[in-house]
Amino acid sequence: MTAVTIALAMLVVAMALCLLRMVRGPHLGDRVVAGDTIATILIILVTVLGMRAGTRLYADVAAVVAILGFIGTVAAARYVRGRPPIA
Amino acid sequence: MRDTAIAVLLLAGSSLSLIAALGLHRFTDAYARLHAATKATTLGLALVLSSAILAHGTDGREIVTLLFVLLTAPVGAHMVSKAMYETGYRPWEADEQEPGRRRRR
Repeated sequence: MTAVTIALAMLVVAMALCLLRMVRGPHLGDRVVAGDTIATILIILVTVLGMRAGTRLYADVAAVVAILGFIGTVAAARYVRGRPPIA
Repeated sequence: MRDTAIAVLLLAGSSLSLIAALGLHRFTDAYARLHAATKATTLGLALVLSSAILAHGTDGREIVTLLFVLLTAPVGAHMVSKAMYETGYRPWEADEQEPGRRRRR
């Protein structure tokens, strides 16, 4: 149980660092990469929360977050491609 | 013994995610950040899902999630990096005159 708490703390710090990168940029691609990383860390976080709750219902949530994260990354990449040349 | 294996896998996976986020925060340009973040979080996810399977067993959902992420993470990273390159964003290069200095392009 202690390991679960330590893991949750590390994942929250990791997500905060990704959020900082998403806010600071500077390139649009940096924000897309940060969003992709946040989605993957969210899958891990949901799995660890499921271990903490002692139920396997969270496995469905993790699968749905994985699918939505991939769709979001692809959509954001196509959005970046339509931008004019920068820096 | 089993609890030890569960804890070690869980902490290793979480540490890899934290290291990936540190790389995302510290590296010099978006390509290096993509390189750091994509691979380390995928391996971290594999370790944490193995830990969850050891703890509670599986009916296949965790394995499906892992296979899906293993298939789609490289595809997404490739699409993002190609889109960034097509906007005219070029990778960072070291300055030969002053090796310690960072030059952004």
